[in-house]
Amino acid sequence: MRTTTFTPLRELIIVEAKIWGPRGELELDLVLDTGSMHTVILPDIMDDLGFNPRDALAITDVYSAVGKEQGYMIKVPRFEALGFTRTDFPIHVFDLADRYGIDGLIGLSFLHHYDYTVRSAAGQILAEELAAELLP
Amino acid sequence: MAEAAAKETTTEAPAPELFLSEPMTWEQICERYPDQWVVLVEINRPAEDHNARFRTARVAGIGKTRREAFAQAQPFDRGYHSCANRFTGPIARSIAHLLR
Repeated sequence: MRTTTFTPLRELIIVEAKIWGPRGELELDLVLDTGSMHTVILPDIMDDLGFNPRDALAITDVYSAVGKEQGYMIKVPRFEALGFTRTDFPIHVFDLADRYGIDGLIGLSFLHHYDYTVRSAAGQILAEELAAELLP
Repeated sequence: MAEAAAKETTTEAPAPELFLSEPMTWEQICERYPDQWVVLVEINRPAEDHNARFRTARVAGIGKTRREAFAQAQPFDRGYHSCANRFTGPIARSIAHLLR
């Protein structure tokens, strides 16, 4: 069981993550979002890391408050959050409606690999890797 | 002719001056650069502890936007393989409904 801490009673649950790209590695602040199917990173960040939309697995349409926007799906060599590392991990790249200091979202594409408990008052996320037979 | 002369004297904008602070704690960084994006390098944190906040880091770029800070820092071009982007201000209370 691994424990990740966050600032309790903040507006959002923000945890540190790390992403690796062709140019290097970058630490990020991501919002834990169980309402998001994908793990999302802003395009600027992916550009800085050396990713190119031309290498995307797919171009995506995202319907947001401001209308339809395009994004893309791409696999990153390594992604780390909550004390766990995933390789060849798919990231959905698109601009969030507003930024306010966050770099993206940790969605269910990552969280589904773990059994986790969020202790809001204590500011803790307890996570352990799921057994292979339980993986989606 | 005048246009040709103008073209000859046109020069590219100077490259931004590279900047690197002394090692600072997160609290010191927030105090010195409030409500701004910062790019951090030489991040000193306990090894093998994904939870630990860093002890100190150097600020290599500052900006009102992430892009501005990163452009000033040019971390990968300067040989830093690892860096971090952070916002020193508070997260807006109203952001939650904007995310989806």
